[in-house]
Formats: sequence, C-alpha cells, structure tokens
Amino acid sequence: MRVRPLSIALALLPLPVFIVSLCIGSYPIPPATVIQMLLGIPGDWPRVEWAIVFRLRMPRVIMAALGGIALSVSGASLQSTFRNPLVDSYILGVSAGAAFGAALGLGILSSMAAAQVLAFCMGLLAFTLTYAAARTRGETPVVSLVLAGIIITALFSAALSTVKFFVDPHKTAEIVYWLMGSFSCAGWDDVAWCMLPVGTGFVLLYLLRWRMNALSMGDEEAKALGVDVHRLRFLVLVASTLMASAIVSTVGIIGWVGLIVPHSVRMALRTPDNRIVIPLSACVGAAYLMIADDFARAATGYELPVGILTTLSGAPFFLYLLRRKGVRVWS
Amino acid sequence: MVLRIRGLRFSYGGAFTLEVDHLRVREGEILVLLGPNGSGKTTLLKCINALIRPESGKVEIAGRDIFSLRRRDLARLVGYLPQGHVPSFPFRVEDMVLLGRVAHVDPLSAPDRSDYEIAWSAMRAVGIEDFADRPYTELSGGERQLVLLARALAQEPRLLLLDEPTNHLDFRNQALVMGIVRKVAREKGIGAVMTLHDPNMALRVADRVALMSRGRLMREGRPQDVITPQTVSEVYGVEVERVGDGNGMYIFPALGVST
Repeated sequence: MRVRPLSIALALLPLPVFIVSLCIGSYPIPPATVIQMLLGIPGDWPRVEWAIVFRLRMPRVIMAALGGIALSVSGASLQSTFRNPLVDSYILGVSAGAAFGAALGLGILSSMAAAQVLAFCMGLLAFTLTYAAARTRGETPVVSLVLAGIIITALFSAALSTVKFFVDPHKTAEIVYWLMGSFSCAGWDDVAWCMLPVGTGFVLLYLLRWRMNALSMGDEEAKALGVDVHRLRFLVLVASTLMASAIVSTVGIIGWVGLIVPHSVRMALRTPDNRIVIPLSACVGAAYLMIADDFARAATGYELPVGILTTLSGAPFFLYLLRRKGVRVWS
Repeated sequence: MVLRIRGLRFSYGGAFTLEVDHLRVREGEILVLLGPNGSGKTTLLKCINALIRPESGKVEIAGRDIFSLRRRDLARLVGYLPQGHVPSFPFRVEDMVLLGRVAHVDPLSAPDRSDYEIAWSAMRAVGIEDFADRPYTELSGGERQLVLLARALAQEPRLLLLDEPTNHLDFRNQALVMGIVRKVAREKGIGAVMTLHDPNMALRVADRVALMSRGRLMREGRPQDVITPQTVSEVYGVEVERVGDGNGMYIFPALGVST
C-alpha cells in the first residue's frame, strides 16, 4: 500500500477548512484573528468575537465535522458490507426510526432534548428490528438485511406520518424543519452527546478497515479466507448504526454524504481498499460538511437547512461521476 | 495424510444425499473429483471446507477435526479457489492476493511487511507479479483464476480446494492453471482436491481420481484405472469413443447421441 501525495493532501484538508469555517458567518472575523485565538496568542479583538468563535461557531463547525465523519465512514463501511456502492448510512432504517423518535419528542413531548434522546433510541431500535427480522438460522444474509431495512423503514415512516397527522400544524412544521437537517442549533452539549457514539464507531471501523475488504468478497469467500462473517458483519453494522443514529438525532437527516464522499475517495485514489477509503472518507467527509454548513449559514441572509444543500450538490455530482467514468468504479 | 474423510453424509432436505465413506489425500497429491453436473462434487468440496455442515461423518485436515476448528484456524490449513465471480469493487491484484493473509493477521490490525512478502512470493509462484497494480475486475478469466490461486497460496495452506478451476478458460490458460497447480503441489507438498469436467484433463493432471455420480463415489484410484470408456459412459450416460495410439488415450463423447 503506497501513500500518495494526494492522500496526504486529502488527510490534511479538514484543518484549513476548519479555520476558514470559523471565520465565516453573518459576523465575519479575519482569519488572522481566528488563528491567533486558536493558538492562544493574546490580541486586542473585541470580546464578542471571542464569544462568537468559541461559543457559537466552534461547536457548530465541530458538529459538522463529526457529522461528515460519521456519515461518510458508516456509508463506506456499509457499502463494503453490502457489496453495493449505492448503499448509504440509512439502509437499515436508522433515519426513519430517528425521524419517528424526533417527531414523538417534538410533537408530543414538545421538547428538543426529548426529541434527541428518542431519535437516537429509535434509530437503534429500527436497526435492531431490521437485524432481528433478517436473521435466520444464525445467519444474516445481505439480501434479507436489505429487504428487512426497507420494511422497517416503511413502518417507521408510516408511524411518522401518523404523528404528523395528529399534532397541530405548527408542530408539524417544526418536525418537517427538523427532518431537513441543520447545524444551526448545535452547541457544545451536542458535541459532547455525539462524541462517544461517533468516536466508538469510528475506532471500531478503523480497526476493522482491512477485514472489511474480505467481507466485500461475499460471505462464502470471506469464510474461506478465515473471517467469522457473522460476527464481523454484526460489528460493522452496530458501529455504523451508532455513528449515524447519534448524528441524525442531533442535527436531523442529512442525505447523500455517505454516498458521495466514499465514492469520491475511491475514484480520486483509484482504489476500493478500505485501509485508504475509511480514514480518507473521514477527512473528506468532515471537510465536505463543514463547507456545506458554511454555505448554509452564509450564502443567503438566513439559515438554509444543510440537508437540502448536500442533496442539491450531491445528486448532480453523483450524476457527473457516473457520466464521466461510467460504471467502472464498481463494475 | 493431509485429508482424511470418514463416513461423510450430507443431504439437501432429502432431495439429494452425498455419501462418502472413505477418502484420503496425501501431501503433494492431486485428487480430481470427476462427475456429471449435480453429482455432488462441489457439495463435497464445501463439506471439506466446513462451508456446509454434514449430518454425520468426520473430516480431518492435517489430523485435526475441521468442524471443531475456528474459521481462522481452518483457513490456515485450507486454501479455497471458488468458482470465479467478479467482486463489486475493483480491488487491485496485489490487494486481492493480500487477502489470503486474513487468517494470519491479528483480527484488529492490517497486514505488515512479512504478509506483503508472502503475498508477493505467491504472485511470483503463479507468475502474476507483472500485473500486481491492475484492477482484478479488468482481468481476463484466466488471469483471474491465477489471482485467486495466488490468494489461496498466500494462505500457506496444507490443502488446496479448487472448484472447477478450468471453467471458462481457453486451451492455453487451462494448461497454464493446471501446470501451476501441479507444480505447487509437488514443490510445496500441498495436497489438492479439484473438481473437473473434462476426463482427459483429469487423466493428465490427477494422481488419483474419484468418479462421482448421484452423491456417491463410484470408483476411486489411479486415473487410468478409473477413467475408462466404460466408466465414463456409465456415469455420464453418453456413448464415448476412445481415440489413441497406445501411448496416450483420449475419450470423446460421440456427438449427437444420448442414451
């Protein structure tokens, strides 16, 4: 495995993006000031600028980076596990479960905190149901997992619609806005809430990165190569679900990141090797969502939901990749 | 003895039963399983690799009962060459062969320099080091078989299982793959069990042949004793002609005739 200059450039990408993101907003702050603040060098900036950088922008930017890491790495891992490059973090019903949980919290309990906890739990519950439904005779075939994911997603979507139907229209609007995904309310407590599940999931998937290559050969070959397929797949699914659920419960549903980022990494570096794809998806994903969120808060006079931006940019970009290189990236 | 099978019995829900009372393979020996489609060749291979679990019977590889081994330990004893298929992602040849090291690398880590060395010596053994950088998905059928063979060798197995390794290969590539299998079996003392469709190829490469039909071993022994016009005709249900001049012998189906 060779380390190319491009890999190093992509690995370092999040750092400048992080600094620039701290400068951008309705109250622009010069990069020099931000760098001074970050390095702890005393300066004569107004007190309010310090508060904007550390209290408002930094948690939000870190949240965007965490979201990018979680969605990209879980997307890449699930694509390997399902041997399908069109799979994303939501295939096992996580987003539908989380959306229902959030709707319960917002619509019935009228509490953001309750929405977050319920969304996280329902995301995990949806995965558990999908996994249990797919399990037959101690095995969990890929096809069964995909079908079970579709069924569980449908069930939770219906439950979500039920909640939206019965609560008053004002709350329905709140739920709909939540579903679009946004970092505008993210604070340090949200970062703390996501750190453990995202961190745990990432460490696990990073450690398993090479074995995932074997898993993408198919069950029988992976077994013949010496992989305990059932256990490895379970670990990958749990780690991916933990990451995605934590992010969705905090910032809503942000689509296409888990699809676009691993794909771009595979194409740019011309390899599907997860030893490269997993760490670089984390870096590129972090940078991508930080940039998307910069646009969300600075492109127009008011906050755009970042989920709309990622879909608006992701879908055409995907189309471009498809037309430019054909289907060769996954044969 | 690399492989020893006793009293093996496996059935697919009553419709088909595989029964093998006794079968052995020595170090460096090539056993060819020959028989018509559906005679149980692949099923037997999968039993030997614990990919399916028989109802009864014993399979021992290098003296160890395979059904009590962990997947990882079994993969250090048995290299498996599956019937070729194209994976979803275009892994480079080197990365494909490196996967042969999965059973040797610590579960939570990645291959190190010694694993690369072993993968490279496996690639050299089958002569594919020149296309280490090419995507596996862009190779021809013959080249792919060689990559899978190198991957199986990188497992450093005592026994190789090959499921129709000559399928879809042209005349030259069939000879190439068979030649390499025979060479590594001889040089490294690896036992090999492979399924083939062509009786003549079996005559050329096998040390011993097991002729299978409807889940049973009809005959087993030296190729020239097992493969005769009579046995082939009986097992495949087709008239055959023998073509030869005393030094060699070839068997061909009589065209357009079935019994």
